[in-house]
Amino acid sequence: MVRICTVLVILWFGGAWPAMAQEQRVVLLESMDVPAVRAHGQWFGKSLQALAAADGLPYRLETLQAQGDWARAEHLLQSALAADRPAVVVANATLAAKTADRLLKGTGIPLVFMTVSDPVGAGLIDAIGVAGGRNVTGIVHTIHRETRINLLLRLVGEAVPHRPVRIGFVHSTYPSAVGDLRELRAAAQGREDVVFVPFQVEYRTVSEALPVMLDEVRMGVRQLEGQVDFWWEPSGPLGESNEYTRLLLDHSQHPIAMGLKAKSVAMGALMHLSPNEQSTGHDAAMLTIAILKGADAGRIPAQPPEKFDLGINLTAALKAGLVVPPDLLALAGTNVYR
Amino acid sequence: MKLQTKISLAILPLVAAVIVALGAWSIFIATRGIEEVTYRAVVKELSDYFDGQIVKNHELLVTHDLAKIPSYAQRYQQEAIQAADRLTHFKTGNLTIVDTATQKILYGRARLVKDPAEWRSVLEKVRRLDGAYAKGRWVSSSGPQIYVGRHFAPWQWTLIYAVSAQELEAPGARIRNATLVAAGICGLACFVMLFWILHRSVVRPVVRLKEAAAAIAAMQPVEAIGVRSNDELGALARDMEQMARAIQGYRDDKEHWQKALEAQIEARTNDLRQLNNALQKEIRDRQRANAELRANELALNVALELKQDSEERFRAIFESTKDSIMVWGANLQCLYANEAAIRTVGGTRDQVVGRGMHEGLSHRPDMMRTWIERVRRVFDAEAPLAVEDVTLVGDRTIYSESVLSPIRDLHGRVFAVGAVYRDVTARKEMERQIAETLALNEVIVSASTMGIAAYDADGNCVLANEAMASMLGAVREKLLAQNFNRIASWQATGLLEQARLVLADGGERHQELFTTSSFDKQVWLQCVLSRFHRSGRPHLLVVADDIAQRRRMQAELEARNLALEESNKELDDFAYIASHDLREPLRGIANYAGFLMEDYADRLDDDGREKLETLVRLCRREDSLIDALLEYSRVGRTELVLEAVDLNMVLGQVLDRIGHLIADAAIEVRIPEALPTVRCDRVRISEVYFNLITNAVKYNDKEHKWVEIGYQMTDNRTDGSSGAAHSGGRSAGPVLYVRDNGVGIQERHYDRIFSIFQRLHARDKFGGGIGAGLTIVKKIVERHNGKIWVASEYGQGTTFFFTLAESGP
Repeated sequence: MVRICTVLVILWFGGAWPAMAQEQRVVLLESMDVPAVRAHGQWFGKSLQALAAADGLPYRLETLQAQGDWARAEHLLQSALAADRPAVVVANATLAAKTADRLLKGTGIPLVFMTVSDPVGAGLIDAIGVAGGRNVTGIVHTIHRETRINLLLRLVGEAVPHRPVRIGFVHSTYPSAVGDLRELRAAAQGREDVVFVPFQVEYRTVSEALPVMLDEVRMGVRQLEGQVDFWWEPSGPLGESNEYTRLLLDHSQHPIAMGLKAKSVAMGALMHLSPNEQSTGHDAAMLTIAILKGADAGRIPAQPPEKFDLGINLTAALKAGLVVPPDLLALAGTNVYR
Repeated sequence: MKLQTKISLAILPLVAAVIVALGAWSIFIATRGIEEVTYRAVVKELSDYFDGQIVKNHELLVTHDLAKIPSYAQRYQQEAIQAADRLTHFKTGNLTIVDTATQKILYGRARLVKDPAEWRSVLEKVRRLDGAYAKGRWVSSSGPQIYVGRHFAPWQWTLIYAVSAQELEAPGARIRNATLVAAGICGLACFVMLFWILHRSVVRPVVRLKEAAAAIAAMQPVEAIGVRSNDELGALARDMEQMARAIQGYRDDKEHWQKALEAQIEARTNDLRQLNNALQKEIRDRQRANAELRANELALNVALELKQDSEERFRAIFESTKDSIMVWGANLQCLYANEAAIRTVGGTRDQVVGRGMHEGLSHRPDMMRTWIERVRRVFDAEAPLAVEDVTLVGDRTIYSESVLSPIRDLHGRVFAVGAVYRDVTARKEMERQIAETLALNEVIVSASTMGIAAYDADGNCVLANEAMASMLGAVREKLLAQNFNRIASWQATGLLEQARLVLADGGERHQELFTTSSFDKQVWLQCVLSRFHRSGRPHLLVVADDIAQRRRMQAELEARNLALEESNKELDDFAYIASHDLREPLRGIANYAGFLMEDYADRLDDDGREKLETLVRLCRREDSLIDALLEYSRVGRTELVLEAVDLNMVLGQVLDRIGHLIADAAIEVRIPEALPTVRCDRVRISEVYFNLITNAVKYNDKEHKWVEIGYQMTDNRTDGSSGAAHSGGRSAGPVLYVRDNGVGIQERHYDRIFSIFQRLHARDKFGGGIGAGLTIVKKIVERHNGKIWVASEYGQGTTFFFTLAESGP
């Protein structure tokens, strides 16, 4: 129903758009240069270009790179707002979205977010799938944690038959990572087949202090090594970084059961399940185009993604002595690494 | 047999023959091709499973190069086999999967046909048709079956899917049966319809004609016969109806003339009846008028009596009131004055009533002028006048209120003025005192260092002093604009709920709270909430005290106590570890000294042996010291086992334990009364008594020695003598004591005796000892949150008092 309403709103403003219009300014604020954020940003740019060309809609896209720094994100966006009033601000990932949400309050400038796994916990919206009326909408970067846990246990459940599977979760204090753990624990509550063993490190600006964070992660891996069977990569910049994946693979005897990104599976993680990057970028571009045509962002509900990618590393599974069930292998399609 | 029955029986065979022919044709059309469709359905179900599970899993294995990995190959084949459980399209369907390489049955029943040769033949037939579906029939133990088969070469699997032919042919049979039932129903319907037509067209019209003829013959009216057909029966019916109407016409004319005559008689009778009624009504009206006339006369008499009675009653009321009432006429003549008025004016009734105002008030000229002017104003304005007067009579100030009112006659004209005069001096005095009291209260509230605020029952602030405003970081005006129902901090701290309870039941409530006020100031407050009434409505009074400094001091004190406890524990741990570790080498030294004494005593001279003996003695002493230290640290480390303990039993056990000491010292043990039962650690308290009683026995040089064990119930600290020393504190429970008539302790040593390894006498005097007993006793008592102190008179005796905080049983 929500999707139908959204499509209707988009079609309505699509049909009502006058033939001639002035060039409108779109500001894209990206949290940091990590694979998922980068891919979503690129697909967003491509889709926005194609959709705007099809509608004859002139626009100008400015991209701001916060490099994982809250202060930098605020400074860049403040400068952009001072220069000229943008028609819409698109925030890529939680850091950018929270900063933009704060600076755009009371300005009337609509905000579209993407690559935000917990927009409710971040205070951007009140609920997923419900129009909030606050001039904020976007594409939620999440998959039900219970779905991910069930899918993972289909793969690794047989390896630990007589007790709960213990999954190590080394994460930073970045909001989406904390929200990820909260959701996972809520999903695992009352279950007897899985338990999450967390270790938290202080979040620091990725571009400057990733090595420091990785040192603390290394300490966490060492501390949890004897207490877990598998690892789970957290949402947020730490889980997005390849260095984090490499560290887990090199410093632990236990495999990464659930990677955050496709690259993790390519590097050696057993599987990953994440929203389709192209679909996410395209959906965010559609929302942006609708707002440029006059739609009220406050009346468009934030939506979960429509398409997902499942990746499986067969080599890792064989090494761990796991048999990938045929339905999972079929579901992965071409995203099987051997 | 009736006519329609005969005709129906003649037509029935024809109808039956036609229906049978139609049924046979329907069965032929409906069942043709069902078997072919059934074959397709069975093949479809098998092919869905074959392609969706077996082929797909095999392709996955091949695509990802997993076919040669046994675990994967077995798992994928197993998954395919398990998926066969989901074949549910046909109830009687049976799938058998055979590994043709090993002839092993992987799934399903071993054999579906009785004849093994036929089974092998079917398998071979299916295998040869690799890539296509084989079809056929066989007869199994459960009856004829239709089967389809398929061979999967990569896994050498042959799949046979058999379905009961009966189940497949059941739809055809159901169609045939349904057709027969439908044909039977159609035949029956035709028969009923034919019967109904004959009955309606022939039999019923004849019956109705017969009934009409009978009615006409009996001279009864016949309106319609009910036969409207256009045939001969219908024409006959219409003629008979015409005949019946003609007969009825004659009868109707006769009845009409008879009714007209009766109507004329009835009309004449009604006229006579109306004349009679009018006459009776006139008689009743005259009687009623006479009765009303008599009633009016009686009412007039009663009214006159009531008027006279009312005047007397009002006069009595006026005379008895304390207010002064006077009435003046238009010529300012006093028409009436009650007793109070005559007293106020002064003089007698004759000097006032019936006289003019100039005359009656001649002795009060100021009053006369004022009142004449007022009475004239009321006459002129024809409206009431209210006035207040302040009159100085001697040294007294008289306050009064008066109301002058015009008095009108029956025509509304003012013919007199009445005045009511009231002395309100007492009320004015009371109002002044209340105003002064309120002003004093306001000064007290303003000057108070306690925060004071008041709220009405709706929550609106009606009073707040500067102290309250200062505590909350606001100005008074902002506080007065608040409503406590909308103050977030009241809601968060529960103060709102308390306030509502106080307003509801009037009980006073106290609450300490830490909160951030509406004006962003963090405060620690102690609030007292109470209810008072103002203008008859309940109000809430809040008195607040800023206790931030007190809370800070409490927190500091708690932190220091915690640190002290930690420090004490660390000290205990250190003592335990140190004494434990010291003991091992000490025992080694003692043992080796003993070996030297045993093995080399004859080679040492006297000086050497003496030194060696000294070494052994010192080792033993050191061992005793370490024992004491260990015991002391153990008291501080081990958890207490608190329970209700009968101290009489504990004392009995201790006395048994030191019975030989008591006997050797010939000391009298006194127990004045049974000891109480207290909540404590049984073992530790027995150590307390052991040490105290042992000391009493040891340190006694009297000829007649005694020791007394008892207790006192008191709220206050117990002093044994003027020189008592104590560790402070009060106890609400029993104060236990051990008293002796021994050597006593000098007051300057009161604190020293509780220090470890401190002795007041030479080492070997009074039986020796290492000086740890009282230290351990003090530690045990303090572990029970109790206190111990000593009272002594040097040379006369000593009393050790102690309390246990856990004193109730």
